[in-house]
Amino acid sequence: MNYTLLILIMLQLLLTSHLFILPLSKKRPVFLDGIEGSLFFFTFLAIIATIIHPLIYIFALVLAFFVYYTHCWIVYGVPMERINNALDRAIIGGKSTSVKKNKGLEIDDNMFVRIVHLGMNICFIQYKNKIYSKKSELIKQIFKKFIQNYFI
Amino acid sequence: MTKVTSSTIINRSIQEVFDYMASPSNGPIIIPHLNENTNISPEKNGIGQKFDWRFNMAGVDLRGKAEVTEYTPPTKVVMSSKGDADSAWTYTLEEADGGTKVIVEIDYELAETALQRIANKMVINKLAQKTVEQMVENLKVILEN
Repeated sequence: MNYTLLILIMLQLLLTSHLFILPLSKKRPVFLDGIEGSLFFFTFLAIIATIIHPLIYIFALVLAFFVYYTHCWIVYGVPMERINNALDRAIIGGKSTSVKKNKGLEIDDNMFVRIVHLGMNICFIQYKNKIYSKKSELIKQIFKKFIQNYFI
Repeated sequence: MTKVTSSTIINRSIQEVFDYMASPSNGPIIIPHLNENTNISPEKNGIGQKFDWRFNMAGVDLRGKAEVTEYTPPTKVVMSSKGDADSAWTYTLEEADGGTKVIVEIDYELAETALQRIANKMVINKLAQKTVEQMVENLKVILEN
């Protein structure tokens, strides 16, 4: 019995339930972000690596670090225009300002947000802060809430 | 009923702080775990204004209806809610050092079924205290920056 594979599969099932089944059962969008998103991608590729080839572990680690350190979100189930609308409402509600820049938005002259549509209602949302700011973090939280309020 | 409270001083005029806090549409922006206030009616803020709310705690939705039961610009607003959690939210504002002192008090009681769905009472109380503290901090961050 390969215990590593067994643990990875159990972890993957837990993460899938929490990240996919729970929101989808309520017809809410799926969010892959932060440490949970990183772990999801890592365990997914690590299972494949355990079965096929150990070299795939490297891709698993790279993808996990990418999701965690770039602070990106992958959202499934909401059309791009609704995501843009949620961001606009978060900016207005948070009394922030925004300017269009390099195919994205710069909020409060600090946080750059770019939304890329990957197809099939999957969006990739990337953030880049000039400096850490509580206001920027709050705008991100509000933006996430507004996206989560949509039904699929 | 259990009570949690928090206060802060915001470097903005009492009227500006009041206008922001008294609007139910701004609730989800400043209150952690409050996902949405919907069906706000009438649109104009004031006594008798009603709305539906939805909290989400650890993936569990709590829902209910709320009504503005006291509205005294620019010093006090009370919102009472019923549903999975019965509560009264009291916002008291007073001028202080050129800014505004904001006191938020929440008296709440979770319905037994909702409570059982989430966790034990002690955990809920800690979460509620953290929520009210985060709420006043969020308000300060938004209005001062």
